[in-house]
Amino acid sequence: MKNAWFGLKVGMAGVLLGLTACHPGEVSSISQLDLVVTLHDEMTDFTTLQTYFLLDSVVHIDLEENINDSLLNRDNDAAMLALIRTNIENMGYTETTTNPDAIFMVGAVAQENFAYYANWPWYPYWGYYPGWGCCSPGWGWGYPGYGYGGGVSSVAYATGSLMILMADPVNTNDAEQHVPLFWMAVINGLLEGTAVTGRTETLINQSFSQSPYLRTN
Amino acid sequence: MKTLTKLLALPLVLFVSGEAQAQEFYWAFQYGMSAPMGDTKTFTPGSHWRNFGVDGRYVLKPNLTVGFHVGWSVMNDITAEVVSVNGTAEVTNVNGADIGGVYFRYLNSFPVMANIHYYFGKARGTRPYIGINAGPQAVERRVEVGLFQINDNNWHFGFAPEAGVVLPFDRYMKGLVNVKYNHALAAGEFGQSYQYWTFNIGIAWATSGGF
Repeated sequence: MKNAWFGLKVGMAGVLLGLTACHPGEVSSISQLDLVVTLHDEMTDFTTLQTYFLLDSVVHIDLEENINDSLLNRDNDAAMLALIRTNIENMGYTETTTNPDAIFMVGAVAQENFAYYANWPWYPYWGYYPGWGCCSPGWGWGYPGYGYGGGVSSVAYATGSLMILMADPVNTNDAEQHVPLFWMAVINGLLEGTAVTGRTETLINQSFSQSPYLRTN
Repeated sequence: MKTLTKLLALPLVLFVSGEAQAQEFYWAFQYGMSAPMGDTKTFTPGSHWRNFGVDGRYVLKPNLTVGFHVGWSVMNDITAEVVSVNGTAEVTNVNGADIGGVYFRYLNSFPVMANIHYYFGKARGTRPYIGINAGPQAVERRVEVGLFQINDNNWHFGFAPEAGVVLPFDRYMKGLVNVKYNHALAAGEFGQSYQYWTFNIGIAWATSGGF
């Protein structure tokens, strides 16, 4: 009877432990790993800015030689610039080529990441050790031995960032080559899956929608 | 004061001497729900069904037990939102920043506490009780957004007043229903404290059937 109760206790403890997990809830889509960070100069009164100029190309920033050739391409540059232009004008800005109040620049960078982890096989060996109390077998440890197989595994994944910068062309410091920024957006996510273009468009829109202070009116 | 001093000293005497005059001891396994309060509720709102605890209680007197409680509570939240960062608990020196994404928030709380409980009613019957748990509590707080993660893990001193009832199933086995208010005092770089209710049911086994 006592052993039965003991078994019940162990079983229930196991069931209860199995119901718990340190970090429940999993990432169910790549888009859940997308991130939009926007920063702005809190001292700027954006209602005083009326005109803008958008540079006509996306700057690809090479962190590693030739890495961007495989991870980034220029197929979508024109579409991205057009979407950014639409969002800027929705904020009330007017495009000009002479003495704009703000200059927008777009840059992109990609990176290949590697993660390594070691996995040790579990070699279960619950031995039979008749040593608990007198004359009655019980649970015990046997010789665990060492596992077989196992080794080191690796996973590679590409990440990318798109940066939209809103620069102040008036208060530059030529001597220190310093150009102050009114606002910047950094969009970061995995360059994986087939919906990268669609996700990028969504995130560009998100970067402006979470910056309502940009409005000129 | 003298009685309290004796009560606090007795477990120490028993551990040192290796002897015990009363033989009654019972184990309890509990499972239940956590309901966060205050700032904890802001971090991980709602009800959480991953709360587990083990109690060991030594029967000091027919209506008094002393013992320990070890527990594990998991609270989590997944929300898509934009968080404005201006000296929040996670980042303290950034102004004018907004971070939009899907936030995965987790709290894992591990109390390791001593406790004392007073029981009403008669032995082997239905016995309502009140008590208090107090001691260290490890709390892991994690925020994941995008491909980034912020961890804040600290030991807190905590206490948990408790009220419940012991229900007799047979001489040795009993049911347990209780409610605790867990409070982990502020600790760590960000000075976070945590408060949550737990509502538990459980099974208890008494060693000699006299309780």
